Amino acid sequence: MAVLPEVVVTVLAMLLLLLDAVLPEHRKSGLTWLALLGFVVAGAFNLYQWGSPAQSAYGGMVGADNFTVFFNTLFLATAILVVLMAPAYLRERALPFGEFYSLLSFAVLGMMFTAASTDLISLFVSIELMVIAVYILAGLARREKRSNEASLKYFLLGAFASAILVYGMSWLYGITGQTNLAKIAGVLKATSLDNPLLLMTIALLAVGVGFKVALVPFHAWTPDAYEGAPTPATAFMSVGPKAAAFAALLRIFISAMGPAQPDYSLLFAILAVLTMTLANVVAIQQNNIKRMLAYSSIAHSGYILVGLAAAQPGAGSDQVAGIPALMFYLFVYTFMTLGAFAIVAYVQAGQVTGESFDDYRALGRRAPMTAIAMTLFMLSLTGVPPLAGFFGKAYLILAAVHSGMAWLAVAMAVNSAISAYYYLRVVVVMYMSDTTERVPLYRSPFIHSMLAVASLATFFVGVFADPFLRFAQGATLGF
Amino acid sequence: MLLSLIVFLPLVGVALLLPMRPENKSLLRVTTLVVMLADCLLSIYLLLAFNQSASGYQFEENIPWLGSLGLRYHLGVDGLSVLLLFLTTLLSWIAILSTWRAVQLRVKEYMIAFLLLELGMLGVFVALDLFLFYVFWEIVLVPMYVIIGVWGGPRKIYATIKFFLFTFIGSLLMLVAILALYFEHAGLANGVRTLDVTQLGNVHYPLAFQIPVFLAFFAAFAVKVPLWPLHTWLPDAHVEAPTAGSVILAGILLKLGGYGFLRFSVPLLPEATHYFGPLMLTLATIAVVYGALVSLVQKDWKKLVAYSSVSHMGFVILGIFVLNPQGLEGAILEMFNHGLLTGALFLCVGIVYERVHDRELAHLGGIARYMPVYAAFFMVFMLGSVGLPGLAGFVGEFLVLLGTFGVSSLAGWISMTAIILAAGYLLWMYARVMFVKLNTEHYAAELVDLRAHEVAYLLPLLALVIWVGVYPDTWLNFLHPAVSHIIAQASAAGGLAAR
Repeated sequence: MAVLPEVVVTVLAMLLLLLDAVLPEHRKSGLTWLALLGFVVAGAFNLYQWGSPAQSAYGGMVGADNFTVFFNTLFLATAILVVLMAPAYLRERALPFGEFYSLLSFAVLGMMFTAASTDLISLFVSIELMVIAVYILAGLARREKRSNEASLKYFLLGAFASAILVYGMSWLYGITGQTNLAKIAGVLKATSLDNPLLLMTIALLAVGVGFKVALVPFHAWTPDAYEGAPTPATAFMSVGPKAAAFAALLRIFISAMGPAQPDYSLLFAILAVLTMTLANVVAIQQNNIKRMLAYSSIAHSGYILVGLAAAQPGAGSDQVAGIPALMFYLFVYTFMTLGAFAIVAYVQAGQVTGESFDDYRALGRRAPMTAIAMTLFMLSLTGVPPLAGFFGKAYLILAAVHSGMAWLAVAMAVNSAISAYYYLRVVVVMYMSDTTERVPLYRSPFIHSMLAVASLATFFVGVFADPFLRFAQGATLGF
Repeated sequence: MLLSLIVFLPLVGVALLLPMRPENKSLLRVTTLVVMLADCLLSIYLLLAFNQSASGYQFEENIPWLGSLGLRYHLGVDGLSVLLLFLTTLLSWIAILSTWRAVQLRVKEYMIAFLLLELGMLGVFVALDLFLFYVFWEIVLVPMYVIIGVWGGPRKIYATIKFFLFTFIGSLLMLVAILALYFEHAGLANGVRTLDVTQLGNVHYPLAFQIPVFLAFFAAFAVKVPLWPLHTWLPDAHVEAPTAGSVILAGILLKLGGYGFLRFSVPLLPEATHYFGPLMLTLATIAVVYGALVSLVQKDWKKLVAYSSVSHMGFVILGIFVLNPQGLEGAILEMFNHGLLTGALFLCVGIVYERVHDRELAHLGGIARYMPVYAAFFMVFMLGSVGLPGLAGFVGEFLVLLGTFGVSSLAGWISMTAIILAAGYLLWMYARVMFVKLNTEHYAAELVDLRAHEVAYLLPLLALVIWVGVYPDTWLNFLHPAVSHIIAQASAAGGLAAR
């Protein structure tokens, strides 16, 4: 059964929807356990498939190989961590549990199929399944104006981007006459590549996916959408759909258009530098921590894109190629970003807004363990060894240097230094400034266990990076 | 296992501290002190067990770490690292003892920060894999940033962010260079991917590659030293840091830069070293004189000592880049001496500051009348720093100048003036603070002479200062094989370039 994990998540989503309708209000917190159970079971089935020979299903529309196992692991881990961080926040704001979890499951399902797609059509449908669920998640706090704004902006720009994406796919079909990714690659390999139509296709597809992963200059929706959405939804948006969009990027640009890599490598390198530089410079000026993390997330899209620019399709077994670096970074990014957003949700849960830097004053004294965890995430996002974020960045820089783009590596290094300024600001506020205010902090075993998992992962994936590097390398052998 | 034990013993300390209650300050302090003293004893054992006549690395540990990338957990020491290792373990417990009373706020976090700092610094000196070296190098950054930022003076946030950004930008450029070295080595050595220092040195890199890599290493190491004109973070950081922070900063952190040049830049990039040699000598000479001149006009006691560090560390760079045995041995010994002497001077400043909470030179005077024992200790350290024969500072500077005159008498003559200037500002400072009669009654009551624990940490420094000054061979003997190895690596390629 190639799609067993996907089936489990589908059943879970349906079940959550059904139970939400029939369960009495006071029993609904039990849905949290159900969602956790469902994702864990799916995760177990998923990991069981590691190393088994590649399979395909639905007439070659989707496949299952190490690549999908890697991404499914990422998506399911994201889902589990988001489910853990959500209850405190949802209860405090009287947001519906059942809808949140079932929308989450549908989005995860879309993400899983995105990574598994081996055909343009299934790829597009999966992406839509994912984003439509996320549009609603962003607007879940329907009595809040900001949340409405977030959802609408995200939806309008997202729909626009989807249109461009599908338009680009139609061009690709027009050039090659195929929708199957592997067959497209076969046709592209056989034909001449200096075709102006192909360049146009590359541009359209890059814009389409560029919107989804928030590359500059297609990032304008991100800060507003991230700021307005309920924080657990923001956390999910900044990690899950982004990772899925990168999976789609790999599917399109490596699986299908790998032979054209020399044509788009420079384009992505320039986009990467633009993205990280602009996002980092703007992030410095933010006073709202959610907006700061939104720009930080854009900047990290820029870093991750370095992996694609430095990718060498066909060099799958080569340990320093860009693709495993990209995937390893996504893995690392998941834990540190979810952790940071979980702390935002945690600090917010007891307050009306709780989003400005001032709300973190003296957190080091008010909640010592939480502050240590936040420090860990901020340092990891900055890229300070021995934390995971450092190894992610180092591996990307390694790939960039390897593919002969030392300037890209230098740009990334300089950007990390710029980013240090605003990440450290959080640490400064937590430990080096004082407050007389005594806002009680929320207590929730869920969020504490989530923070424990995220911070341990941020630490151990760093210090003992080797097995995780091998995981990412093993997942890319198919390319 | 001995090296791993020395490096990671502070982590055991952290593990012991974590469950302790933050209110139990004396237990926290004693535990930290005991762990650090134990580490110091281990490093003394290492000094004794070290074979001074053997060349190459000793006490090596070499196991795979990031195996899929060919990176290894490779530790080892030669004469150079053994001395710096000892200096680090020594100054660490001294720093803790020096803030026994001064730091009352968040003692637990303070102790943990110092233990992690020690771990990072020790790791830097023993790592023989460049990637591992980089990891330790960056670990040092965070605790120091926290120490200045949390327990620092009024402008601590400005100072600490400046410190972090300066050093972080330098380090990241170094990271790019390290990775470039990784691939260049793989290309030249039949695809062997490694960052092991012992293997990287066996390959000859083209000059066009060496030059950018040297510059990137320069960005990291010169900021740490700090070499003029990259020194501007140092006075800010020192003035704002708590005493113990200053001691570690001046005593050890600055040495990381010099160590980096000696261990990596010079042996791995010999042609670039020759290529940039004149530039480095020029910058070092400027640093030596500039630091001394700026020290002359300081109003703040701590800032004066901070700028004198710029001058003294300039001597270190001078000694490294003259590339002869006298210069190199002088530079290494000067690093060791500077750690002892400037560490001691900062401790002395801290002792008075703790009592009267003032560092403005114009406000202080006549201290010798109230604190005679202190005045005696301080005089020895001050004279050592001036370069009085018979005390530590003299030997290092003499050797460096000896080496410099062999290469460029102009640089030699100019640098000599700094010693005269040093006598000027240090003697003036001493006279001003200790003897000038001032209306000091308002703080006379505060000026209690040295307490027992203060004597306890100044005494070993005093003994070492005299030991190095009177019989430097004990320490120089460690250095001969290491230095001749560095010179051999640097000149083999130099000869190659000449051909």
